[in-house]
Amino acid sequence: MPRKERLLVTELPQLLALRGNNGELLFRDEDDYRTFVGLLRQAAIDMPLRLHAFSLLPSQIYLLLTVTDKTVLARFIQYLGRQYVAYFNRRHGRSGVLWEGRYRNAGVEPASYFLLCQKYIELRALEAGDDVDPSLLSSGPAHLGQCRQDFLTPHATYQNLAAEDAGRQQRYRQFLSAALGATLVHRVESCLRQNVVLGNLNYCLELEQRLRVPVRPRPSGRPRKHYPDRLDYWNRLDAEARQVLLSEGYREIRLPLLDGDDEADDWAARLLSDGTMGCLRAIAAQHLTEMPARLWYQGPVFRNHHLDGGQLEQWHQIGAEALGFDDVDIELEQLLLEYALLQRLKLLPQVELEINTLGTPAELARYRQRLCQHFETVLAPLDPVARASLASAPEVLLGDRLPGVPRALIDSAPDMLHSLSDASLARFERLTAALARAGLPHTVRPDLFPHRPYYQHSFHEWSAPGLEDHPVLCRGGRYDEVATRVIGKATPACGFAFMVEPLLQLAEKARSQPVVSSARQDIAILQESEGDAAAGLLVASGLRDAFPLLAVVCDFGVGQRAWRLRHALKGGARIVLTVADQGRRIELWDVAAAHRQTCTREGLVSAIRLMLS
Amino acid sequence: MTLGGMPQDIVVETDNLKHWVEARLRGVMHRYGYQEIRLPALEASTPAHESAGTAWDRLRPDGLPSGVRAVLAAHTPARRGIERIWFLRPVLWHGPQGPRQTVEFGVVVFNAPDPAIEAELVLLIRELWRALGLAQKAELTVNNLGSWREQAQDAAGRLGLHSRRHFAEFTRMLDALGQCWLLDADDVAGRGYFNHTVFDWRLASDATGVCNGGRCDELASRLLGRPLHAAGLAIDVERLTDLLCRYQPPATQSPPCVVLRAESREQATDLVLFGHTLRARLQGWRIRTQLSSAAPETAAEDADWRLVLRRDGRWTVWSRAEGAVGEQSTDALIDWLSGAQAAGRER
Repeated sequence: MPRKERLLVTELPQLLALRGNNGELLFRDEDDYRTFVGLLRQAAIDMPLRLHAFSLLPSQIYLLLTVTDKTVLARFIQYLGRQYVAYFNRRHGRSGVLWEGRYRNAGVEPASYFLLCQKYIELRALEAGDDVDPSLLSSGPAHLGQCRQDFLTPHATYQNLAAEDAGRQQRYRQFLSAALGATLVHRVESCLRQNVVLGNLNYCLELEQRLRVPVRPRPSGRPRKHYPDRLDYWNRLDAEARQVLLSEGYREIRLPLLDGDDEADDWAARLLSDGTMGCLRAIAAQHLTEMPARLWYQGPVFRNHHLDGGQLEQWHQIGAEALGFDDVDIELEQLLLEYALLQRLKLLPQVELEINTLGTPAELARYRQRLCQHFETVLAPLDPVARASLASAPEVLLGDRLPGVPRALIDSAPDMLHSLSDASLARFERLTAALARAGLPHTVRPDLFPHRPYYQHSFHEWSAPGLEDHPVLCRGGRYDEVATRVIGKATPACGFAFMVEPLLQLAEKARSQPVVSSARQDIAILQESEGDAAAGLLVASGLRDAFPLLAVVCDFGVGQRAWRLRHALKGGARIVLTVADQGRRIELWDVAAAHRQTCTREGLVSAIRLMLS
Repeated sequence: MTLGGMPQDIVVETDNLKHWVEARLRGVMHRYGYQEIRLPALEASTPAHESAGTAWDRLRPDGLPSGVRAVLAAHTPARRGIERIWFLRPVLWHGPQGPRQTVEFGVVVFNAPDPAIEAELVLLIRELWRALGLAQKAELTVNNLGSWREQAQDAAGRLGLHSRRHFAEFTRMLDALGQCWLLDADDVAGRGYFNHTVFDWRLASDATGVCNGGRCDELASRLLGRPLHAAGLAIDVERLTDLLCRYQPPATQSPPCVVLRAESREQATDLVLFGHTLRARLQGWRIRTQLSSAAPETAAEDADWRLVLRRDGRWTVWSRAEGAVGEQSTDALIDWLSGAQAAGRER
């Protein structure tokens, strides 16, 4: 197979990686590091490239740079090899190749991934150890203001952190202190390995459209032919969720299927659309909870499909609500609970936690006002209805989903975190600090907003970038105001809900699964003639008493014996019995050992026990 | 299940009872080799023979006929070979006092023309009663409805030879299995839906049946548009748990419960993080944190352990078994509770 042509999108900054052959050291002492950094400096001056960041690990090199042309990158790597490898071989008395294979590169979407990528490589450089000058190991000290490296060209996204140097360094230090998600590390490395673009889905799709080449990483391996049983997984999900929630003292309530108080006969319009509302309505309807309370529920919710003539869609949710807790600790506890559940489901490597704060309702309203002013040029030409709906939630303009909103306007929009009062900010910082202490990786995303107008203060989402249709697995946050309105008295409330369908989809990464669980049988009972059905039933009930864990199945048909046998074997039967003569004679077939024998009803249980042992 | 005077459609689950019953159901279905199916609660349209055609019957009503309909909508049965399917689903229908909601358990078997399958369904439910501890209270009544054409006739000798033979074979099998049964010729409620056999399990002194089932070949054939043999049963699970509470409250043992509290509000974060550590160490235990809140939480009567985090970072420990135990540091406390868990397991 011919080698794939290297993908290089020159408009994007590139992440470059080189590593030592067979994991060999690339740098043996500080002089080696110094020489290499000197070469980088020389290249940055001589060649038409902009070096943004570097990171030198003992046996790996990461570089972040922007080039104008593919040949420049080739010449740059060639230059490094000719200079450094010759130097290294001469100095350490070795010969031959130093690098393992060709260099690997991946384009990086500037807006969403550049800073994360820079953080990733600069944090990796800390693995090198303490005995080398840190300014030789990575560009981290330069970005934090601890030293100057004039050959580096800081990237625009770093420059935009703040207007002046000190503020920028301060914010970058905060940014570095949060933990990195395992998903991100996995993503960066797989993009490097596959030479594709590290970016958001929408961005990649747009790029693919424009360049007409695939730029997204593909799942490894050939398409799967065998899938795990979807229902089994669902049952496991239910059981795990129940166990986790019970162990934290949550009580289960049953959701009403109908929402709303009006006694209208149109049930379709009243169907529950959201578990949280159902839970609150249930509480309000019967004044049942003494506060504080922790409740959980599971069940179907229904949504109107806007595109499809108001057709109803059914989804499933598993959710929990804590009522009567006003401090930030309950939010922390629920986040840890979600983490524990995802850990038990073994989904952690595929998911990411994103978190934002919305402040108090007054602060949110003020922020929205500022956004409206900022986006005045976009809003003005719209018709009044569209303008009113956008003005009530102008944050959707930040999401880059609506056409016709200039990118520069989005980038320069005011930041939620800057619109908060000190108390709200302190509250949010307490939460993120506690999350860091608990070792829960998370990303603070100031442009993350809920699509339902419930939340205030913290709001979070667990999403799986691997899922394209419904990437959000879980949503949650605080919703004091809504709870107070529905229940009718002041109620601090905080909750979350897992969406079952995306979870199942993530677990199997395939949609076309049947909803019926696969048939399982251990012992199949056939009958020889029509009169043996009663005897077959009797034998079966005796066997079920003797072997309580086995699935014993009667096949009541007659004729076409070969077909029935095949049917039984397809279901996984290990032992096939044939009942004849009203149960006086039983033929036993041990499928694995291909061994047949005849026995009586009295000797049957011991014969089977022998076969199974 | 229902708290006093509350509308029927909102229920707080009492302890583990619902899950206990569900686990028993699941176990029995596994042992009989039945497949599970998850059904949507919504129904696309109303079949022609149902009378009411307004918008509200887009949700599925209860009972076996609607169960058969739901299964056929979600799954096309094979042309040959027995298919045994069970499901657990929420249902909603219009009762005299407005909408009623419950959870229904149902079984549907396709492609089994012989009366043996009805016998197996009876056997299966008998096993369920045993697992639930209701075996002594359950009574089985059966009746022979005949085919739909025979149901339309009113004469005493309306049942044809085939219907009578089918029913005789069924009762002969019940006898062979040692199952008592009672013929209830007045039970004709299933007319128009069922044909041949109908059966009904009643718990002593209860007028209406708790588990209703039978054969509905002709209904299934009409729904599918080709000849299809079908039999099945349906149980209202919430009514069943109600009855269980009345007759035989099962002894479900709850896991040990630890309640954590902090002396000052500032320590709440430490408390949550400690709870997280403890949950990871003590799998299966219930660990509840009493967090800062508008109203102080009521004292936990069900707690087996009460731990109070003091301002100096040490813990005051109280256990139900030993009373006040004294104070300990965090690490010692974790080791000590792990030891208690191991001892509990040995016991």
